[in-house]
Amino acid sequence: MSKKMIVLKSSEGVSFVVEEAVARQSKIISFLVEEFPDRELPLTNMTSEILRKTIEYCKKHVVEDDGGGDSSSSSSGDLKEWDVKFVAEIDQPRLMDLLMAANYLDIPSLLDVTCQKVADTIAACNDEKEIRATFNIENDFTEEEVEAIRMENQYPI
Amino acid sequence: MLKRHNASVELLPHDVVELILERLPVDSLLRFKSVSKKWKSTTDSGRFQQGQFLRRRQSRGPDVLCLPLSDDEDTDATRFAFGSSKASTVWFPVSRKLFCYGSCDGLLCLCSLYEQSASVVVNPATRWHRSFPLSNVQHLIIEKYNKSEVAYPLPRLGFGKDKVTGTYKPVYLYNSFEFKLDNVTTCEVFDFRTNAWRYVVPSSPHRILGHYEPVYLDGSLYYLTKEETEVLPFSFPAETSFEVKLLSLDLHTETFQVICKAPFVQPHSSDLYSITMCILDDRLCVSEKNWPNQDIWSFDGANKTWTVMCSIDLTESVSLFEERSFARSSIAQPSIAFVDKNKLLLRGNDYFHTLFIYDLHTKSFDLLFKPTKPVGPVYYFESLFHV
Repeated sequence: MSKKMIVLKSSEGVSFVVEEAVARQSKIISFLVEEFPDRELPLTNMTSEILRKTIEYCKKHVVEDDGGGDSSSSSSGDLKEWDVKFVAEIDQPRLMDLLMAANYLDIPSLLDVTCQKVADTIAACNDEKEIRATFNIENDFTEEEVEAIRMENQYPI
Repeated sequence: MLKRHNASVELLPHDVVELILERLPVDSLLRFKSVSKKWKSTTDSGRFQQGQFLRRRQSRGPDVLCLPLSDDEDTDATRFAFGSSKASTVWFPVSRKLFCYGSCDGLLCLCSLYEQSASVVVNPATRWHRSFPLSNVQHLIIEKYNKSEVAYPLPRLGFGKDKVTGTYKPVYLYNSFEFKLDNVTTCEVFDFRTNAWRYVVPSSPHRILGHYEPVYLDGSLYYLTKEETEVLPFSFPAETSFEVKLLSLDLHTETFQVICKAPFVQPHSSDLYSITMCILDDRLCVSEKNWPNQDIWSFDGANKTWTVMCSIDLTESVSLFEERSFARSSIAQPSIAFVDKNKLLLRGNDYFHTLFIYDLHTKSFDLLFKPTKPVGPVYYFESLFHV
């Protein structure tokens, strides 16, 4: 049985040929495939690198239906482990890109693992300064305001 | 959209930032409020706090907090993990001798027995707390105590939320007769807006089984009530048979409703602690000791039916307690939470409230934590809420 393939195009114009079942994990692609069958789908805000990563994730998570009923390609425990490894290997900037891609393409499970990874990184920071440095956040508080927040967190008894 | 090598969180849409922050533990959220104005306003917003709480509930099992029940600062500060949950004992500067069995939205209620000290609602995660004055019945208990009389059974504090308005309500429901009051029962509700207790009229028309702690679930507090049915003929002394029923107090309408019979509940006058109510997996449960088993019945609110959820074999639990101890003789174990699928966290009926894990498969008990000073173990999901 031949599987239906679709073509996704990155911002650099590189085409990726993907099984429809794999790509359909994105709710947006799933919608687009139905609206515009047999069309190349341009993803102009996604680099080839991130698109490749996203497809890699979707391939691993696709639930295959090959006549023998629904069967996941991996057991859920293995899959979880794979997810952890998958996000652990990505550096911070690319992780943010991947998170944005998961959000844009609406792939809930990928959004979940990437958000969790970013949250873990934040939780591991020692103080607000480290977070600002790691994530490029501008400090819009004065020293006094920071001190006030610190006091606010210590409820007087 | 996808700028290379710029990891700025500020480029993310705000709802995505919220998705990330929701996954942080409460202590991190508090510490990192000072990252930026946006982070602070997010953490402080009610919508986000709701999201954080829901996420926490979905992510793993409840945590257990052992609240010290003495004024002693020197409580063993133990932290340990079991399953996906964590337990910790914390010394809270407003320790009280009594505690509410359950938590509501990560908030707990503590109160005193025979002292004039105010009751407190606390958020152990943020350490926010607010005290509230004694109810009328607490004054009556103290009055009795000063005259060397004992109020028995002691009215138990219930705590829950009016789900329509989002208002939290501490509640005392007790049988009037013991305090020489009118009507069958008396119900007092504390209003945080007016900072005063008020009476709920009409109160429950049926006497409640006052030995059991009320439990909160989904906008209502639940009690057990008994209705006397008939005097058994030919019995001497005359015996009255009664039926135990489940009673609810809707915290929005503040009305009582007898929900259904709890036909399996037969409280023995010799062992009042054979019955306990609890919330397991978001279901109202009643556990009943029927030596050597303790059956946990779960209530289906839609069909108003009871089914046995699981059964604890108490035979082995005897060895966990010292011989001749009170706990050993009245060994029904109030359940606190499910730990993973097949394990139950139980609170010993001993003075210290020792914690056990019971494995439903192997039918074995594991001692989890034996405090050296009495603690009140409470299950909860941490939150950012306050009253």
